[in-house]
Parts: sequence; C-alpha cells; structure tokens
Amino acid sequence: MPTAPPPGFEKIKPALNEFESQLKQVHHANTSRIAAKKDEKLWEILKINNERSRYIFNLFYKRKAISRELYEWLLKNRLADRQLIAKWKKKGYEKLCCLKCIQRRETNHGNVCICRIPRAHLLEKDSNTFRQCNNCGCHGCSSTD
Amino acid sequence: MAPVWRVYAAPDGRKYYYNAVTKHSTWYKPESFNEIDENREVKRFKKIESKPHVALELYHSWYLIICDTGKKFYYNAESNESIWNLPDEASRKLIDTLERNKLVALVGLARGYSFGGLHVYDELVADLASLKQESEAKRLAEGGATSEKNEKEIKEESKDQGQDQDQAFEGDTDGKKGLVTGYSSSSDDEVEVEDGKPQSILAIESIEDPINTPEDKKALWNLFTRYELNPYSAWPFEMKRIRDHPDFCRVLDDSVKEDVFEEWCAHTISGGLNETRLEEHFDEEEEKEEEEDLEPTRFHYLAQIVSKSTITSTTIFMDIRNENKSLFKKYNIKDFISSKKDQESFVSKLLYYYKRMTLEERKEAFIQLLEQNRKTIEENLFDDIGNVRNCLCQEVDTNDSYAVETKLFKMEKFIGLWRNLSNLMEEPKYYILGIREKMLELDNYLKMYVELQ
Repeated sequence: MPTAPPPGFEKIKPALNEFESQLKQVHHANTSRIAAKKDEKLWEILKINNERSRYIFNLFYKRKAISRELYEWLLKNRLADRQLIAKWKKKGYEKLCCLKCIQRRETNHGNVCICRIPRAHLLEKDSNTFRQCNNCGCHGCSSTD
Repeated sequence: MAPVWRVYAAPDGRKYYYNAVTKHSTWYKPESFNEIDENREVKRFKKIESKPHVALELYHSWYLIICDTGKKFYYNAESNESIWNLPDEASRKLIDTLERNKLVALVGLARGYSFGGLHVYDELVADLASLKQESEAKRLAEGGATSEKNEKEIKEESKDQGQDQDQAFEGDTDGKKGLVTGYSSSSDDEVEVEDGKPQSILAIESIEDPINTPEDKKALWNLFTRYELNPYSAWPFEMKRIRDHPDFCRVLDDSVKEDVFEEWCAHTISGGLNETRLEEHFDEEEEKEEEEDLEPTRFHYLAQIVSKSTITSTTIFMDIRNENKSLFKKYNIKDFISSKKDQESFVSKLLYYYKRMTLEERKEAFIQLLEQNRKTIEENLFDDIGNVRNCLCQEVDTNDSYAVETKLFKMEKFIGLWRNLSNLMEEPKYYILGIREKMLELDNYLKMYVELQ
C-alpha cells in the first residue's frame, strides 16, 4: 500500500524525478547488439541507482536535510538502496559501487570484484589494464581512490 | 585584419580608446569605433611567464639555467650576464658530453612533468662533477684537451633556443642580449648563485602538486553560492550547472568537490546559523582570531543539562543522566569531568538548590554570590573597561543560543573567572542558573556596574 510521503518530500522531489526520467531513458534505449556492450544498459541502471542512493544517504546523514521519517519512507519505497547504504556505513566500503561487486560467492575464485582493489595496488602489479568492471561498469570504488 | 580602435583601462580604472593607426588616444568612444584596419594582422601574443627553476654549474662560473617553461639560458655568476648562447668553449663541450636524455628529462622536470623523478638533477650534478674531474686529469696528462665537438647537437640546441625565444619575447625585444622577461622578478635564485652555493639550489621550487588549498575550496564554495544551487538537489545535476566555470576546476579531485558541495548544502539548509564554524573550517588562522580563548568552565555544560531537565523532589543524578543521555554525549561531559563520582557529587549539589529554590530565589542567590566577590570583579572590569563596554552594548538575541553562550563566555572572562576568581568556577552556586538566565543576570549586573562608574 503506497502511503502519502511525509513532509519535506516536496523539496527533494525534482531531483528524484530527474533520476526517474534518467531511468526511463535507459529503459527505452536499445540494447547494443555487440556482445561486449550488451551489459552497458544494466551498468547505467546500477549507476543511477548508486547515485540516487548516495543522494539520499547524503541528504540524511551529511546535509541533515530530511527527517528520519522521510528517510525511512524513501527506503521503504525503494527510492534508495537500503542494503547499499548499509554497506557505505562500514569502514572500507564508503564508496562501494554495487552489491554484486563484493559478492564473493558468485566468483570462481571467491574474490571480490577487481574494482574494489585500490588503484595504486593495480598500478604496482603491472602497468594497469583495468578500466571498468564487468558487474556494474565501475571504474574503481576502493575507499582510498 | 585588426580593429583600429582598442579599449584599455587607465590606471584609475576608467576606459579609454586608443587608435592603433594614428597612435592617438581619447576618453570618449569615437564614431569610427568599429572600423577595421585591413593592413594589419591580428596578433595574439601568448604571454609566458618563466622563472628559473634549475641551475647546473659549468666551467668558468657559467651556469646553465633551466626555467619552468623549459627554456634554457646561460648565466655567468661573475659578470652577472645572461645570454642564450654559451660563448665558453669548455662549458659547451661539457654540456655536449652530458647525456642528452638526462638533460631532456631535466627540462621536463622543470616544466612540471615528473617522468624522470627528482633524481635526474642529482644524477646530472654527479655526472658534471665526474666529467670535470676526468677532464682535469686529462688536461694534466695531455696538457690540454683536444677539441672535438658535436656541431650538430649544438646547432640543434641553438635552434631550440631560437624557437623558445620567439615564444618568450613578444616579437619586439632584442634577441641577443635579452634575458627572460620573468627573470628579474625572481631574484632569490640569482642571489644563491652569487653566493657560490649552486648545489643548494637543487630543484628549488618543489614541483607543484595538485593540492587542494583552502582558497580553492573557498572559491568553489563561493561558486555554489553565486550560482544559487539548490541545496536539496543531487550533486550530479547541480554539477552540470557549474562545471564550465574555471573555479570549478580549481579543485581537481571529484570526491573533494562533492564533499565541499555536501558541506555547502548542510550549511545552506541550516540557514547559515553556524557560519562561523564553517569559516573556521577553511581558515585555521581565522579560527584563532575569532575564537580567542573563550572556553566553557568545567561544569558549564553539566549545569546546563541539569537546568534543562525535569526536577522533582526525588530526582537524583541517575535520573538526570538517563533522561539526557544524548546531551551528555553531545556536550562531551566526559572530557570535562572524567570521573563519574565528580559528576554525581556536583549534580547532587546543584539539585539541592534546584529542589529548594524557585527560579527567582536562585537568581537572587546568584547575584548575592557576585556581590560577595564584588571587589575582585570591580578590579578585573577596570582592567579592560573599553572592551567590557563594547561587549555589554551588543544586544544579543536570546533565542540564538550560540550568541548567548559567546557573550556569557566573554563576560566570564571579563570578570576574571579564569584569573583570580577561579574559586568561583568550582562553586556550585555559580551554576544554579541555566545558560540563558545566567547570561541575562550577569549582563544586568555588569551593566548596572558599568553605569555606576
């Protein structure tokens, strides 16, 4: 049952609408036929999800611009990713791009995604070839980057 | 094709118009302002400021100086002359024998690229020293060095210089004797060379790192304000509105920009109440000036908590603590009074007054306490009477808790609470009022006093 938004929602509505329209654009865009590019739509969606969650996270924790009631309402209505925000509060996960990238079980060797590795580390090993990760198109989301 | 008339600003800021053909200037906008001279080409000069960056010692007190624009010239420490082409044979040969790659790397270093690392300079200095020793030994052995030089390289070098020269001079300076335009402005290097300590010059100014200075952040901050960004909107959208502005690029790191934006939003939303706090954030120096050394007394906040809590005849310390747990944390009571026992004993003393006296009675008791110390207060006020007057004249909005507190701290300082009246600081009676009441009472008391004078 959708409930009426708590007070204060009006102020953040334009930004949320903007995110919404971005999502719609991605939804209506054509998927590329090139195999290497077929995931890019998903990446775009995950990126928008990340940005929107970050926005609400900042609104509540950094700017203190919205009430807890509104914040809870936003989380409940899936306007922000509750699980992702929960990770951001943990040390070392402050910039986490998406949840799949830390899902060790889904990888062959039980590792996290390459985007979690600090850039300096990658450069040390070999003159870096990593550009974007496969899960969400992240360019690197280590806390030290 | 260039316009005939040009607009310049006079030293006093007024605009004047200059005719490039007749070389005539006027204050008023001429009718033929839009005329175009077809014979002249538009010249766009790029003004390049260059400063000496690295110095290498050669023979006969000649130095090879490399500027931070990558130009090089030669400087003689004895005759104090600087020229583009090296006249000294021995020095020229020395340069030729140096590894060309290293020289190139050094020029790059001077220009701010760090591919060679900072060691290039050290290496070159070491090479120079060893080469000098070698040639010295040779000279001793053979009685003079054979002159064989790589003419090609020299030609190349002079060609390079020629090009560089063109860049630096705006086409009209004398190329022979001329020195870099920016050179005279940085005399410190020169002085060092004259001191005969070229080694200490090293790579001199550190290569500029993209450090985010407070000014850059402040510029970004002001940019947000100027563009009236929406503090309730998201960074990706707001960023698009200002990203073409040069100030936007002053802070390089994206995440830093975002942090500044978040801070700005928080500040704007809270209505600029804590403006001073955020100013401090940028300028640590300002902080020192603004804050002076106003600090709360040991029991200040604890007393404030007690004054805010509900007190019945059966209230004890634990009740107050449980009721105001968040306040205890917020005011860092632990940092002021570390032991819980002290906290408890102080609170119970306060509770004694709170339970037995009404607000009016407490106010009276407070005034009485001040009266008891009248003499010391008098003396202390007298020391700084001008400031006291100033402070008392400022009316404070009693709803602005920050201002109220600041004024209270100021007055506490004036009556000498931190000097010879420090016994008052430990006196529970001094804390029987809340911050606001205490400020008002103290204010009234001191005002009465100052007027009596």
